[in-house]
Amino acid sequence: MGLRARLEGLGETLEYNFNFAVVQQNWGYLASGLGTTLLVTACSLAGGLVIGLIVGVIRLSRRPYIAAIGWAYVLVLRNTPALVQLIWVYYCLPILTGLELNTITSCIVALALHCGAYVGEIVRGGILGVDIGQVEAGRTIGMSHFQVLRKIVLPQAIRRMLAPLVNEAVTILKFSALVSVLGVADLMYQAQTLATTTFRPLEIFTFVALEYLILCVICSSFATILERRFAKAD
Amino acid sequence: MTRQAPMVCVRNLSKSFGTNRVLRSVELSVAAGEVVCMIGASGSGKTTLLRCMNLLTIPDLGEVLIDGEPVGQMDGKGRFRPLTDRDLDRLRARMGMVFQRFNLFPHMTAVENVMLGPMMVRNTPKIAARSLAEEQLTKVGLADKFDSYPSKLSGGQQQRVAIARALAMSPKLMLFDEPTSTLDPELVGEVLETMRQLANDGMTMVIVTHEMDFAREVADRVLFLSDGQIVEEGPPTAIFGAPQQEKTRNFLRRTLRHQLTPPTRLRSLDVANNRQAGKSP
Repeated sequence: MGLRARLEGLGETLEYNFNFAVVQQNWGYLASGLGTTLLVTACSLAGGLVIGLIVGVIRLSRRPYIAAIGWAYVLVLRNTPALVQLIWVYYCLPILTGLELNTITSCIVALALHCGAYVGEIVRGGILGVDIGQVEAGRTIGMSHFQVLRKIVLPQAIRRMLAPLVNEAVTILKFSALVSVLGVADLMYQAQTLATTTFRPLEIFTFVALEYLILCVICSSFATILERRFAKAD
Repeated sequence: MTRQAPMVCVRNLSKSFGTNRVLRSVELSVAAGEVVCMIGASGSGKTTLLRCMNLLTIPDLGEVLIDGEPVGQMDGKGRFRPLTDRDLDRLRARMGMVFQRFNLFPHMTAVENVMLGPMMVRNTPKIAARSLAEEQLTKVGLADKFDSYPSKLSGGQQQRVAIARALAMSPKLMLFDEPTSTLDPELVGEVLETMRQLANDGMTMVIVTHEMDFAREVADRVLFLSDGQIVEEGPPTAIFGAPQQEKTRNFLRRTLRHQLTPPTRLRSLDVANNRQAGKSP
């Protein structure tokens, strides 16, 4: 079985026989990266949500120097490449802090920090979207700032935040492929290894792209279901 | 109790938004059980004065005492410093506030809206809070709407839930910021009726309103504000019957003509009736 393709370039014509048997034969090996990819994504996302919630709230603080910390965090993390952050956390953080992290943990830390900056902006936008009258109503019945945030503002903000948060989850899932650079055996790393040993990169990377596509589509449709459920509650 | 402190005492209160001086050295004292209505053109500072009482707006200068307790302190230069959040929350819980746009929590049912304050601020157990909330909602005539979300209620019903929510904290003072001005004409009556009952029960109330008939009937004292100052004050018979100041006379002439001339009033009622007629075949 095979698929023929004509690759034309530089005046030459190359014949390439696609042979997806290589995927079938190494199925188990390729799939073994899936767990790592999902683990890295889930942990980074969970960390990113916590960091983002804090950063988002900090950025809205009435005390300017506290708000500035959040602002600086977002500024740095959003304006440097994720790959650079990943490598920086892996190589520089241990030297600066003396903290020895294993490879996969530093990847998760880096992606969580990255994700946190974006989630922080989503949280901030969500909170700002809630009518100020809601805050005033809560304060006038004597609720504290924190109580108003937890019971009144965030429940309303979360509905607005849902769609962009799923977007962010999909982004992190795709960014998780970067961890292969540091040798973490995720989907991408397994694919690279296999490609160099079998000399079948086209089939293998096409298959990997398909895997990411399916994962991301599942993630997005999960969001649609959640959104519908929220809409019903209104 | 040797001497009863006024429920609200405002001294020398000033507030500017940018270069706009909204309040100019206002002095005001409201006794316990008194119903005070504030009238005046928009931009005259009535709402700001009301919001300064519970520090939703922070005044620049002056002093506000609620039930004898200051809501803030003056520093050496006489500038206003609000209380710490914690003390302020405690004081605010003694004042109820009703807003022009209701500000109900849309993600909670009517009864949950009313329960929230007692549960969060007073640590009332859920069951007790629920029965308290049901009692308050029944009092404002919403016994059949406990589990409705605000979006399913009319404006008048929403505003009554908002009143019940404020009352659930058993406040000593109720502040109303134009509570009927966003309501359809046919819904104004039910909210005013609820407020009238509250006044009869002896609640201290400060009300910013455009409903002159209501002010005339319910208020113990009417304040007329213009350009950030209390221009004239007195019992409603005096203010509406024989206003002393030129500004008051002008304002009342304009407002009452607007409220009483049949064409506008009737037209809006006609529209309301037609709308209702259109709904039910």
